[in-house]
Amino acid sequence: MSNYAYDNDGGFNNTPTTSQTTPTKPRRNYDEQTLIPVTIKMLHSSLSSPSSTSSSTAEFHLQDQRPLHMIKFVGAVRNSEVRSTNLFLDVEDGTGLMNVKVWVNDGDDCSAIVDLRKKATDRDGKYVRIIGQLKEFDGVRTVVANDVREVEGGGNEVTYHFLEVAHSHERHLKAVSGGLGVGMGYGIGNMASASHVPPMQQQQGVGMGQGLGGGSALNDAVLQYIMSAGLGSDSGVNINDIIGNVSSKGFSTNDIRNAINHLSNEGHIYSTIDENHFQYAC
Amino acid sequence: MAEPQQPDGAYPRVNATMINEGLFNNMIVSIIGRAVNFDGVNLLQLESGDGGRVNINLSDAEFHYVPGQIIEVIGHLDGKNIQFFISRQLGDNMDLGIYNDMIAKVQRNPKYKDLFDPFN
Repeated sequence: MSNYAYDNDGGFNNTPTTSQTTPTKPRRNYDEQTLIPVTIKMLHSSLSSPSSTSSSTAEFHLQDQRPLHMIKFVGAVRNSEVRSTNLFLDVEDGTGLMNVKVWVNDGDDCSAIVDLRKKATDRDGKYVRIIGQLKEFDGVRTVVANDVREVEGGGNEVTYHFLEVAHSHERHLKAVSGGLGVGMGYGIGNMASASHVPPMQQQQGVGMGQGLGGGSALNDAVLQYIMSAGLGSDSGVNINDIIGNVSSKGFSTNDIRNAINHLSNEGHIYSTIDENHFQYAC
Repeated sequence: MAEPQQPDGAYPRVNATMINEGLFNNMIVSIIGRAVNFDGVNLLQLESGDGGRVNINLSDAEFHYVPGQIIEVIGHLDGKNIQFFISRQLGDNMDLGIYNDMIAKVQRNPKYKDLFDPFN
């Protein structure tokens, strides 16, 4: 018989060993792993709260309540200092000054970082885009950068970044106030700023019921029609009837089709005799 | 000299209109525009996105003038002139109209104060 008499089973079953287990930071759920475009002012004025998992790291959130995970900003290098294992930059963007620390590994870095380490004249006075995380040591805030890149698009990228900061903030405000508008939240380029909506606030949909279709007016209109027109019918409602009815409320055919696909994926409706007929799943 | 408190790295982004309105006087500001005039010695003129001209006093600072080039100048605003500190190059194809809209309508919009305004 197999009686291996090992202390553990060779690691195959993930049983905890009695030897010291290194405490790992619990991985955040993917929805929380955001990348938010910010200004340096926003970084300095963000509020810190002690992390629930570790006593030494703080977690930050912006004035508009969005928690910070990774951040992105654009600014000009004012000073820089090269050390053997890292590169320090002082970056300013007109709203403030931020210290940035970049870890470097010879031979392993992307060419952008290699170039930046070369000459001060290649760095100072140049606009860069930084992606990283905000940290605080001894009361001083620093960004530990995962990526530093010279801005290739020139001044346009500076303009774009500030517009993106305002836009991302606006999207967050709209999402928090209850899913207004057509198809908000699952569109292209959703920067996850809308994913911080606490579940309770989403149930402000139009008309009947709670939490129908995630609170979007379009989804509710489609669902309402399917429910009423398909009542008692095994074969449900024809997609053309849905489009005909809901488009009179001002939605485009394309948006209606997308809404139907979304509701079907979420399980609120199902297709019946063919892919053009839908019924409400109670 | 008594200057308003200005946090490090914080400078208002201005255009010719704002300068003419007397805003941000006596502060360190940033002006982005196209280089249109240089007397070879000290006086540089930039054209900002609102179409107006801004005078920059170089005070013997080294400057390589390329007409039509878009640059950012950081300097001290003294009435209608800016005293040059540093300049940065911003490429050839920056859209100054959009940048102008951005600083006039977005950065100075009171509802985005928390995002952009370091002075309050």
